[in-house]
Amino acid sequence: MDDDRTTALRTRGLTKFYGDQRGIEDLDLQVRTEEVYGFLGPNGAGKTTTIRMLLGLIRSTRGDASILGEPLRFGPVGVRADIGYLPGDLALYERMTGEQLLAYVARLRGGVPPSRYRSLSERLALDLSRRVGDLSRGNRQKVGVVQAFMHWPRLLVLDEPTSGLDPLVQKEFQSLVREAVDFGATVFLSSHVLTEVEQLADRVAIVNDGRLVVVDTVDGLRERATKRVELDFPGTPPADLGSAAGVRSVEVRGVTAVCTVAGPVGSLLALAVAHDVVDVHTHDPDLEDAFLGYVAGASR
Amino acid sequence: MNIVQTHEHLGAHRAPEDDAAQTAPSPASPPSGPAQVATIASHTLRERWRSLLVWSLGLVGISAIELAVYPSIQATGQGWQAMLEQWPDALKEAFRLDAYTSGAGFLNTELFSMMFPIMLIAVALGAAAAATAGEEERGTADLLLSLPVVRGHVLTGKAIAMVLGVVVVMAAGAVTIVVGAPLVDLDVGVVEVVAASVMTALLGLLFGCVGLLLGALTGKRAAALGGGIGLAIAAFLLQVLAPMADWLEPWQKVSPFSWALSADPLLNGVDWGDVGLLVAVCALLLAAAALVYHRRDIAGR
Repeated sequence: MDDDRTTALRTRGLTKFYGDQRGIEDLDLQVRTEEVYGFLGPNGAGKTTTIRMLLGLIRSTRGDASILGEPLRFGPVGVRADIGYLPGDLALYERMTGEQLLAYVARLRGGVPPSRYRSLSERLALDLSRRVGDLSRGNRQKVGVVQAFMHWPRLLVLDEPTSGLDPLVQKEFQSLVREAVDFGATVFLSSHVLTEVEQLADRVAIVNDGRLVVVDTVDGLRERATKRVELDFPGTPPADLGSAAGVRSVEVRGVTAVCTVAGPVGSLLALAVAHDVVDVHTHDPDLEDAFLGYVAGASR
Repeated sequence: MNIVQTHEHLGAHRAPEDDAAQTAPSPASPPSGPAQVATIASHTLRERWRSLLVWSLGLVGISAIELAVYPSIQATGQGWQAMLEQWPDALKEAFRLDAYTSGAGFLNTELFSMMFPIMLIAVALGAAAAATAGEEERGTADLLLSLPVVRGHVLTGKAIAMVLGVVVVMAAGAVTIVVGAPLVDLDVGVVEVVAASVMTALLGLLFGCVGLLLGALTGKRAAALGGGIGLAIAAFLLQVLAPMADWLEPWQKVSPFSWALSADPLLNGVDWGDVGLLVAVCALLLAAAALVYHRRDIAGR
């Protein structure tokens, strides 16, 4: 197929039902090679179900998918050698040390020298000599990150990768992702918070309640995002602020009107100036609000 | 630690000291299936060695205690034999009491007709429940099965670890008997001890294979353990009670205990037909387990 080289992951009508309960339904995604693709949705939206189907851990009810040019088949080794996977609810062998655990995974994968996982661990400030069972949640997550990255996978499937990581380590994680992409990897990154992926992702898909809601670029989401404008007036704020273009809502708190605005704020400001506005505070577009807006809109 | 440094080398820049990152080889093809099976088996044994050590010490201890009391049993041999003559025939057969005061007969009754089988079944079922069901319940199956490993090979590695564990524990008991018997003038042949140990180990493994199948089917440790124990108890009762009731007697041959023990390997050596039957049923159960496991939806946590 011609688009194999530019498409790392594609699903068509991918569906999973647990009994009559919907996990994910009719999911159509196309992830380009060397793209960082955000897969967003609240907890229980069907993200992990989708990812576990892609890894062959559970079978699809219907629909199909192709990964790195190969059709998704249940069970066989297939392309798993080329995938690095970080499970969402990571469970590790508690009695092993980090070193032993990574050596075990490396032996099953083949072709991963110890120097590779040791240098990755060093970058994440992970002590490999300690038993996994004695590690904090954040440090366990680091073990999961290292095993996902250590074999130079062509596709990284990361389910809520930064949960439990402190901000400094999150930075390092982001540079790991960028390096992997520089080396030609594709990254499929799931999260329930947009801020976690907005710095990395080129595009995001938002799922809610088992259905795909929207696919857009991060910039596109940002454009559609509402921003908050607070206007201080000498007395009671005028009642007609809501009539200005782009204003979605107005909330009056004493002499202050708190407006949410989509798009340009000129019309609102002109109206405010006409009413002798005293002070203006604006806040950056909140992608989290945009995300929540999509989710809320979809569930209505 | 180079966290701060690498922040300054985002994107196309690489930290120069990070040798591994500079050359990103395309992923190597995974090791051969047998190599992966060996890796999984040795990992599984390493996770279970404490349990195996405790069971081995248990068999050594029980064997030593039985050997220690043998001289006094033998000294009062006539009295014992007379008393046991009073027992119902069915019980005499169930616990192999007819030759109680001979060395082999004593061991047969005290260890090989019940104690060792129960212990070996417990060892095998423990390993079986911890195998695929244990990985699934603890959540480590997600990581393991995301690797380029065929599920059948995972199951094979777990089964091999179970076999080796059972062999080690049984060997601990057998070696204790072979070494200790001459010290207490207990007359039993090494070949016969080995034969009885092989049959007992196979009996344990058969129920272990039942546990592997139930674990692969349900992903639940409790199902593997409970189902295996339940079947073992039913098979044991059938073996013991069948001689007491005419209508039940023909069914004794269905019990794996009968396949393993009815030919009295401690007195008569190995019955190869029984060995073949036990091995064949184990193989069938394992094949069924692999088939079921291959198709299973792994439960998320």
